[in-house]
Amino acid sequence: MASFATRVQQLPTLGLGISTEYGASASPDALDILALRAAHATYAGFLEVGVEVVKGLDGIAQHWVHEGWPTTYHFLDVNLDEIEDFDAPWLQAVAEIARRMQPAWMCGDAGLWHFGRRERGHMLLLPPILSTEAARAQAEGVVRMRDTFGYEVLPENPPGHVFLGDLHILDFYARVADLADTGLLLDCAHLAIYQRLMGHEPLTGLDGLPLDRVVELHVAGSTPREHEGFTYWEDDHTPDILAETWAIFDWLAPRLPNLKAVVFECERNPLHTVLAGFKRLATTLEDSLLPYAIGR
Amino acid sequence: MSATALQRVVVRMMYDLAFRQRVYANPERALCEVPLTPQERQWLVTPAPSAYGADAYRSSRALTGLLEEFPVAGALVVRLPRGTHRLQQFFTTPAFHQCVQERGSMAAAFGSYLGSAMFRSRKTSPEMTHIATLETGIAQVRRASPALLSTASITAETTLGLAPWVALLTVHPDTLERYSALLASLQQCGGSLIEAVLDTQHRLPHGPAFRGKATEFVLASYLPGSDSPSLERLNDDLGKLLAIAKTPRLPTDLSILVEEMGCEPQEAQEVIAGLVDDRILHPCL
Repeated sequence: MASFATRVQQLPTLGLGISTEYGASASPDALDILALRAAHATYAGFLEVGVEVVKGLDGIAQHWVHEGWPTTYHFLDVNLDEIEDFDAPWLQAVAEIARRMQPAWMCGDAGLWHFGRRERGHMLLLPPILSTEAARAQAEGVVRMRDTFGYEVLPENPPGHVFLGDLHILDFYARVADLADTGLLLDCAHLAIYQRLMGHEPLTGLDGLPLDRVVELHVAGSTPREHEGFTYWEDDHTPDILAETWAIFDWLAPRLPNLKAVVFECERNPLHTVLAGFKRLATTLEDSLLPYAIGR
Repeated sequence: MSATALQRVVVRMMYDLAFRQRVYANPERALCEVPLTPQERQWLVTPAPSAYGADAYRSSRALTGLLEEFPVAGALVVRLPRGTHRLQQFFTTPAFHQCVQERGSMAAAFGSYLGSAMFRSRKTSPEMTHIATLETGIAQVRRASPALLSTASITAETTLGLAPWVALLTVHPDTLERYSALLASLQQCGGSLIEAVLDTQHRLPHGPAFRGKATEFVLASYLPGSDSPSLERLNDDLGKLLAIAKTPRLPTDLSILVEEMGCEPQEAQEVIAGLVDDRILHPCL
């Protein structure tokens, strides 16, 4: 197989896009992604579809796919580091959904999506243990998934309330990327959550990140919360993007030579509340290496 | 392996406050059964303890998922004194912790909990245990994968066992009717099933006393291609045959057992072939 440096040149540039998951469009005040695409096509250049195979694609995602518009496949139901999770029914279901979607690539939080087996009530999302051993296991999962489905698989840094291990999260994913020879999806909001929780400045560790590995960025709003004296930011995808998240995005966007896609995760908010965020993203991207994909 | 074990301890600490407190108080003692390094144990107690409980609804969400699969047993527990609290206590049980640490099924562990001595006393009806057995069987067959469907032809050397999508259950003879009546009552409550389960104002119908120690066989099945699981009462001979077939056997051995129940050899072979055709017995590869 060709190296990532070669393979990444074959990936399409998707520009600015939006995310969804099963049923999100049906929630109260949900973003009307078709209206967004009709009114601001460059804000909705592609749809990142969050997939649990047990649910499949909802009506909006099916419509998008039917139109032949670009997609990425964001998995919500596999623990990359557990070989038992790659069971035959799941592999078969993923292959079938991917066949219908024809995504540009696959991606998803490389953490713990469920404890134990893939069963009702087991779902959660926790970050991995930030150790060399865990990075190796995640990398093996990335390779396994890429080899199985034939798509690039971009691991994403998850959010969390508890991060354990002796590696900074950026060093952890740099190791995963190196071991799997893969690209990365960096979620700026998740990174801001991590940095604050660990007492770091927003940009701590970015100088050690292999910038040429970052193919996709996520940006989303977060809400400060408190629980029994523990303060944290909830990754709730509001339109209100924290300054720390912007700081990370603004630093990264002009420095990523292989950036192909940016998602504003705001799927459960009405259109008028998210336009300012899209505009801000598009403006920043005009100075990035991705400008032609956002209509400049 | 150590990172995996550590990750699972994190999950346990998120669901169980008492366990979390024991880990913080004495990590070595609380985690003596988990192969972790001293450094990993130290990592566990480095964050603020309340960080593990920041998602206050984590166990409620899991419990909701469980009650959707155990609506009748769940409704009976909710209507016991401190019933909801007793349901939440599941997350403190060894069954739950073992399920997480050993990559098990939470539904199976929850079924064991509902059928445990925790819900057996002179003041509670024995129906609880039997209904928990039924719903545990349904949960089990729901998890059988059609991918396990073998297309191999059956020969005299093929061992046959119970198909993964069937579960042979032994319950009190009053159980099936009682279960149906309670489920129908919950379904007719209005609103969602889970709302009915949790609505203590919704009175469940009275039922039989489940007297005596008599039992009967019930088959829970969820055949590939069917819409939903089903429950079927079995006659005693068939139940005994399937109980034996829980351990895979050669067709001839099973036929002999049927003959011992009074069938002619040809008839016995047809019985076994019929059970294979009905996908109750299945080749074990």
